Amino acid sequence: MKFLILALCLSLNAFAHDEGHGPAVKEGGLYGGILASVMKEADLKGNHHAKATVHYKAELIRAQDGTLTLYFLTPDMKKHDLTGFENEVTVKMEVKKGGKYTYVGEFKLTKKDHLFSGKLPAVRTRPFNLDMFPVVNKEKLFIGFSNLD
Amino acid sequence: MLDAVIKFALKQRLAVLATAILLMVLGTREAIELPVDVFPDLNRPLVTVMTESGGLAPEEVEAQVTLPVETALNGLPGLLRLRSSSGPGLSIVYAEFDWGTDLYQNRQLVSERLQLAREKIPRGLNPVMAPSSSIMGEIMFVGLSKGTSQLTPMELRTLADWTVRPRLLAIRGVSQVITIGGDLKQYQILVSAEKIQGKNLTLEDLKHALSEIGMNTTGGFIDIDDKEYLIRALGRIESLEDIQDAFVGLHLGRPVRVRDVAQVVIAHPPKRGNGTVNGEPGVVMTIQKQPAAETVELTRRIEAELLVLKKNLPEGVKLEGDLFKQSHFIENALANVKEALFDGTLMVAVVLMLFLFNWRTTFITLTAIPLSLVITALVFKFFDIGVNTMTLGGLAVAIGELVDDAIVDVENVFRRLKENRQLKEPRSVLRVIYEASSEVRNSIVFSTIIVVLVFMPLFALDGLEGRLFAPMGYAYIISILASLLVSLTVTPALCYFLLGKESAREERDGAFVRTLKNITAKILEHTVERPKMILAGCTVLLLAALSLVPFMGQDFLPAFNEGSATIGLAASPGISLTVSDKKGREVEKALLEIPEVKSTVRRVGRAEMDEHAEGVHWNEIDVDFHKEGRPREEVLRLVREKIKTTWPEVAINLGQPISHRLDHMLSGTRAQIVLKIFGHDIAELRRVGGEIYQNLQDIPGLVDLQVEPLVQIPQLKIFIDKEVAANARLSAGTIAQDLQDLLNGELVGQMLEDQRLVGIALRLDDQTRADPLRIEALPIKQLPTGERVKLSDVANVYQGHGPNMINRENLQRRLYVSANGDGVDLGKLVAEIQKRLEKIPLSEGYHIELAGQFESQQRSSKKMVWLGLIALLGIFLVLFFHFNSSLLSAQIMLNIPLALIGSIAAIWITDRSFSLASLIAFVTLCGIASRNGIMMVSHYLHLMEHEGEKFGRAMVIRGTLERLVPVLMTALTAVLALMPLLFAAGEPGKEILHPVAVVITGGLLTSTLLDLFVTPAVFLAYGEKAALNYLKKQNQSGELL
Repeated sequence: MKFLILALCLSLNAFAHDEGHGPAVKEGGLYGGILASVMKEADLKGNHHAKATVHYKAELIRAQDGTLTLYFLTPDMKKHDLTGFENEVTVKMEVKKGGKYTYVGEFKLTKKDHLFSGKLPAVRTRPFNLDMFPVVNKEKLFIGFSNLD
Repeated sequence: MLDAVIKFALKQRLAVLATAILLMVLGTREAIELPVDVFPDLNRPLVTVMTESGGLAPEEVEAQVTLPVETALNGLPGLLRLRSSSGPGLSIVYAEFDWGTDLYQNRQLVSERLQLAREKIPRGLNPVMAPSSSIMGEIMFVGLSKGTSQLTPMELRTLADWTVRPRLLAIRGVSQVITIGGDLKQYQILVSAEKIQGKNLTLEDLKHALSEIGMNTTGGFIDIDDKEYLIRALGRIESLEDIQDAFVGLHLGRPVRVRDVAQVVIAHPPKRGNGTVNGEPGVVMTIQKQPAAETVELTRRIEAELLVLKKNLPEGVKLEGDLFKQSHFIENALANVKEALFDGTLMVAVVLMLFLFNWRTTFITLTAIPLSLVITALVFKFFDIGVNTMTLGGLAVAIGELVDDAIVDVENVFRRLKENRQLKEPRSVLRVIYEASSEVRNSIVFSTIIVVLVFMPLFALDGLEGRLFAPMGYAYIISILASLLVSLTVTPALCYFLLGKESAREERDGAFVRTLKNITAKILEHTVERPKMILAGCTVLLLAALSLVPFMGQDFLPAFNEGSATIGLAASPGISLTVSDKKGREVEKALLEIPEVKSTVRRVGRAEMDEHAEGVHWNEIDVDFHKEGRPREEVLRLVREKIKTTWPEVAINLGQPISHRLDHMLSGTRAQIVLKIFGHDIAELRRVGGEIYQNLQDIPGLVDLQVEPLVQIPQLKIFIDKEVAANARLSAGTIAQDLQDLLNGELVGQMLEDQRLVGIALRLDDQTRADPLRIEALPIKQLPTGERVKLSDVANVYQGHGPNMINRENLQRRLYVSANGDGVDLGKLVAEIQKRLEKIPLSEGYHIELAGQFESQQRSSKKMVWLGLIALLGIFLVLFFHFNSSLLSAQIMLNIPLALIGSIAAIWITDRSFSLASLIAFVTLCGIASRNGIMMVSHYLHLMEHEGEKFGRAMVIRGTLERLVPVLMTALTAVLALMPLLFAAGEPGKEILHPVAVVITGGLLTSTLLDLFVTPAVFLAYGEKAALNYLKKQNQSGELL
């Protein structure tokens, strides 16, 4: 019985990631991309993603050539001009292999006018997650994009 | 030659009148029988290739189906544009051919190329051509709802599919009936993953066993006792129990039947669409007509069939045919234009009576109208031209001018006969009539040539606008030429019979004419010797008019008033059908609360094999309005409010059925302004689309701004690890195929029920299918070692995203941003859009094209300007040919700027917007306006040549006063005949004709009034040398005027 409960918890956890990090975003993107909540990294201690305050919403567009474009939107889905954002966003990448996510490396997105962009490293397996860490007014934020392919 | 025609008509006057009567009878009969439609044939030949692609995702559909089909069709002769749409499980390729190409030949060519494409498409997928219909062919909806009966949605759908639809399809002229809504009946074998594991069977075993589910076969013939017997093996499945008992394999030596591993149910296949009628669940049947079928007549046949059908339906079931019907608009529009024709004729009669003050001359002149119209009808019949708002519009515009030639002829004959009677020894009446008709025939013929000439540019217009306006030109030209023929034949003959024996008592003009002549004479006294002052005044007026132009708007075509609305509601893609359907129905019910709403039909998503491919996020509501009620604009504002209140987050596209379909034909989309973004990466296209939206959304007057809803939708993805799969001796392709069959369902057979074929499908049960964990646990294969391979052993199952649809145009991926103008100038809106687009950088390989109504308007306006200039040159050449003087020709053409003054002023007073129709009217006006000058100058020359007048003030004043009546009459009849169109902006059928009437009325009023003073003054000041030269040449050649 214990084994069954453990197996159930593990498998549910695997799919829990599919909903992304932070409070669920129900709106559609402004640029046809994928949306995720942007939270303060400090608020996520104790894994309280779902209850964390949403400071922005982030929209990620991934082009076929691997170019990533990241827009920031206000919580009520208005365009944001990136005032106060530092010029680079650190992105950590992890891939799913054998049912588990493994860290594989990191890269940067650079600010260009009202968006960030950068190049995604080549990846063979799917899905993968991108955890992004923008800094605005010296405050480190967190965005989690899950199950990308 | 023309004199010979007049002479012949007078000699054979009885035969001419008999022929005229015969033509009236024949022409009236033909006119009644001419085919009727709302517009000329606007259908560009279109062949639609559809491929139902199981559960393939849009990316796969694009790569595996759409691309091979597109590649095969590309380069077909006459192909103008290839568009495609790749959605989940469906590929649609639209091959649009050039106007004038033969639809059936196009279909043949497409069919041949599809043979090539089939070799490159995955097995089991079969591209088929949609029935030959057209975008304008959706003529009506029929709704079937349960009403007071107890029918289930499935019984309702069965009734629609197997009783109503076949009867409708059997009606001559119906091309397709597409049903949506209700529940399609299907026998479903819902396999339990756990049970097949328990019986040690695999998906492969099950699929194989069920693919051989029972059927009837033949064993040939056998002779028994001198008789021949057909051998039949009766294995066909006949009931649900037969399916349950079907054998699927062995477990521990015992047979396993379907019932052991699956549940067999009667249910509907996964729905991709639904429908409601007046807010109630039901089946919506969209009836499409064959391209050549006559809409009104076909609608009547369908209505008759529906009446018969209603009697045979189960009690309480509601079969509704009085929903949206294209024929409503057609009948309304045609009735309105016919009314305009009738009223115009009445106005002309009043003007004639007022001026001529003589019933005989009025009768002779008026005869030209019906005769010209019936001759036009006969020519229509000969050239297979139908009656529609544009051909009737051409006649309505021409109606006032149909009497012009007769007026000039009758007026001159009447005057000459009066003069003749005053002679001591009157000449023969026939001779006088002949000479009087001959005297004016040149000005009649040349005026008519010019009027016809200026309509020629219409035939050089291409595209939709060419198809729309050319029939108007045909009708106008044919009727004007017919009126010329009547004025040269029937009018002189009638003059003989009705005026020849007229008593001398009617020698004076009527009081009205006398007053007009007195006023004109007094004004002429002051103006005739002041040409510079007159010209300066006109120049000031012209400049003032031209200064208004920059403040006016531009439109492609005036808005139609179809008496209905098509409301597109785009929810965020990814929404489930259930929610989209529920919200759409709420909106529909809210709309039904508006008193002006007569009926609604709603379709969400798409029906099977419907070329109108929309995702489940798309609701389309067709609303029919009552004729009575508040103004349309107010009602539409209320419609918007209702939608916004009921479903705030939905994007609205509010239009009208026919207008929307015209837009669709122009740009492949349904909006006035369309920005098409082309490029290779769908993600980048979406990003650019979003940038454009963000930049344009605050432009005042821009409404319904939408990015084509090509977005990321949630997908449950199964990523097969090929390396691991290979270790389990499985290929990724086999696993993918098995999963497709089981998750999406596979048709394994059909059951015959009362001559109805019902599908038998195999798929996983809902419990297994709805849960990712259970899908992961699916047994894929049993290895020879006895070990079973589960899906999770070889694949990652996760919730990701993917595109909902991929659209392409001319072999490139495309996304559009569309918008409408909210009653504002489209030209200014587009200028602002273009300014803002410059701020958006585009990656290499991406570009934006402007399409929609505006693009067509720009293109056709430029063309019309060029064609107008050519027409002006043509007018000049014709005048030069006639007068042999560039100065006289230029003087006559002075009427054109005079006409411009009135036209621009009239547009300013009324619509304040130029449309293509206004431009066409401008060009037309050039010809009509020149007529006044021709008549005036010709008469001056006639007085000098034949009546001994010397060039000078007296001759000019006499000539002007003598020509006053025909000039005013022709202008007034032309203007008053247009009154029914002028005061009917927005009435169905008159929408396009109204701007034409505005321009011609305004232009004719100013050109006629100003010309009465400009031409005499200018001729007197600058025309002497040219006139004398002309007379000299005439004397030398011995020719009469």
